[in-house]
Amino acid sequence: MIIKIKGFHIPTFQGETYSRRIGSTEVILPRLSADDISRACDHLMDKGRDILQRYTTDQLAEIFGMAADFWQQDDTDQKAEVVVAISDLTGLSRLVVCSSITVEQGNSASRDILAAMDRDLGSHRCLDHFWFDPHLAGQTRAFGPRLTSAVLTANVPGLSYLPMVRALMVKSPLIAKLASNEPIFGPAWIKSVAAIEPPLAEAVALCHWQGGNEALQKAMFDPAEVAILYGGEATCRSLRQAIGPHKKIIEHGHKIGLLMVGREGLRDQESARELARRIALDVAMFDQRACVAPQIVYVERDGAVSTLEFTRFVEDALIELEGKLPPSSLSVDSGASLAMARNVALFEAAQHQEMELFARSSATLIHEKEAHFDTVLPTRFLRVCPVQELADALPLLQPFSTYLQNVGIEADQTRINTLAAELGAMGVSRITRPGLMHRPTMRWKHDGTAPFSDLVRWTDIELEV
Amino acid sequence: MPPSTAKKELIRSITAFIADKTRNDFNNLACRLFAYQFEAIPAAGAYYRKCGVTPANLKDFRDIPPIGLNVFKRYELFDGSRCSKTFRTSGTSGKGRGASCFADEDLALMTTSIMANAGATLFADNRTTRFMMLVPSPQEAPDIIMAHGMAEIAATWGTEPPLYAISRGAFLGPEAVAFLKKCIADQMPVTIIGGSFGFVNFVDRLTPELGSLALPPGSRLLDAGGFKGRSRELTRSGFLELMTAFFKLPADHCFNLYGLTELGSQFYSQGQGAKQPPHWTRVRICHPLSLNEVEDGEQGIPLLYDLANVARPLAVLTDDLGRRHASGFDIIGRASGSAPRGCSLSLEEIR
Repeated sequence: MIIKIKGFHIPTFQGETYSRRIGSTEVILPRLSADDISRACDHLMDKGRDILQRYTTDQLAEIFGMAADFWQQDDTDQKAEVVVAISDLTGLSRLVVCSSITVEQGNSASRDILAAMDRDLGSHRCLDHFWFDPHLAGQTRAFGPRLTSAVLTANVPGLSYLPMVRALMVKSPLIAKLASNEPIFGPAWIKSVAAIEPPLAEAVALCHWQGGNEALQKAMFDPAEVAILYGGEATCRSLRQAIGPHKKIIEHGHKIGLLMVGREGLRDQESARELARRIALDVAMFDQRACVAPQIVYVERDGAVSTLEFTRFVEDALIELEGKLPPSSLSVDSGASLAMARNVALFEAAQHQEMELFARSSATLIHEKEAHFDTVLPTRFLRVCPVQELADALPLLQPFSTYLQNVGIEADQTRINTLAAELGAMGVSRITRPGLMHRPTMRWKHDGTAPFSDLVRWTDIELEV
Repeated sequence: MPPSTAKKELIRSITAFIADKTRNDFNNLACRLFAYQFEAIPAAGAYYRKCGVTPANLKDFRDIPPIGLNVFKRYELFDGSRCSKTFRTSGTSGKGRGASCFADEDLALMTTSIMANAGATLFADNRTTRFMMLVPSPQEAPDIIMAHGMAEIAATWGTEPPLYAISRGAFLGPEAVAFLKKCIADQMPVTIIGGSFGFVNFVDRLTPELGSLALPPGSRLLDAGGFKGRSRELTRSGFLELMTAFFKLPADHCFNLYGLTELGSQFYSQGQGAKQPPHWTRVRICHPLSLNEVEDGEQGIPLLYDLANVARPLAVLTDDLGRRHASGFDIIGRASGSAPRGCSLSLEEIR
């Protein structure tokens, strides 16, 4: 059966479409001109903005929370279709796509949205009306941009809803370029919101074109006050140039996640195996394509379970998970790079006694001879680096601090606090327990920024002279 | 260290085998060569042992654990003979430049392989021609293996010393055109050898001025390298269309060469045809993780086995992408080295 599914959502668009067939999915895509984009922007800034002003932030959060509830159900036709389509387009297995959407939406209840805003803004209600600010001895109100633009990526299935929630919560309409190879979830999410509250469909335009079309890009960025960018180094660099120097840019570039496992986690076989299962889940959840996924594990020597045995436990756990979260179909291209990485590791393991390669089915683990910092090809691939003390890993991370993001630590809380101070100073923006790395809540200050506060500007009324 | 008796004997057997394609000695020689390398290249020996393959249990060359090109870039894999010549990889893969050492006897074996291969393909008609090179001379690029090999070919099948149209990084356009026009005037066939992209540049540059240059009958082209990462990427058909239109040559006078600094032998294709491994080599296009051979028409990664690699490991895992054909194989590109799309970062990007 062929699934026909829309890969865009542009309220004003009446133009021609075309379709692209991949597997059992036929994606309907728009043929866009710069005029189409400009018309969509005008509509968003006029009608879309007007509609958003009619809602309070509590009402909006409730609506988005209901949409999150909808996407957490696995038995709806809409979710089933979206899962098949995203799987066909990205190569991710259906179960990974389905779980990813469920996990993402599970982090986005209305209470999470409002709590995240309160963390950023003092009170979410400052977007609804002037609000007494005791530090000012006056009143203050936040205003979202007249229009927010965004460029989205496809690495985490279901993540495209996040900039929509952030922009709409600050009552800013959003125009976005969807990821070329996954334009499915964004339109499906806004459709689910419109099923709850139809007018909100007018506040978002989700476009699709192949990257690099400068005319369409310019038509999208020019009227927007803020640009939210997701993407790799080169993409973000070129987009920054296209946007120019005088616009606010919120960038979520490439990041690296890592784990630190203290002896406490290796006190016996059972707890080490349980920890290995949690780590495997963090690796496999988005098939390691998310920035929150760990790539390296620093493990303390001299635990009751050796670092080598622990590596084998993680390999077992990754294999066990293949039933619940099957790995992606590997292209020959990625397969060739993975084969080369495994070959080099096996060759080196033959030269160094402490080094070992564990490569079975989709799992690749390298038990390194000495601790260092090196990333992996994210294909359920972990580098396990033995260290005498967890703190020994810190100097290795320092040169790459710009790229550090999530760190999962298994150790006593006192040790976690000590390490957190150092890691935080380096630039790490989230410290959590292994097994929770894959589910940051909406409340997280994403990449160490304040995602709502970064979008708004403020107006104060001074009451005292 | 002078070559051991074992090495000398191996090279003698392999040289005899190269000269006589009727002998069915590949597997036997590959197993003997493996046994030599197992001892003579200690790092490779340790790796083979780790893979559980030893001279005692190896029966089929397909069971020799291949060594990845990236390993060659990190380790000096050489049998400890006196190195008289070092070639280096171009470094286009972004993974650093690898080095390949050759002792005198290895160079001689490589030359035997190059000559036998060129004699069976590029010069199957055994006709001598003039030569124009779109690569620097071996004097200017002493560590580029292609410059060395092509100079050997020109010395054998050339009627006179070749014209090197690339010198000190500059393209000698007027000299090249004058040379080709003289070949045309003299009706002397010419062999042009260069990088694939060098040919495209050459033709792109001269087409507006000349329209075409109809080379004399018997002329031929040999390109190598492909287009990965270049500003203009052409399919093989597109390349052949461009060349045959400009040089007025039949497509089967256009040859393509696939070679690696890590190997002593190369693989030729003619026109649109598949690449044919010479009889002292084997190429298996394999599934990247299982390393089982794919079916005809399917894509995989090439595993190369070359008996002309005596001082360096004979079984090599590449990170090229290939397609298996009933009559040989094709190279369709190089692995990007990148992950499936993700926001996790490859270290190449941040170094």
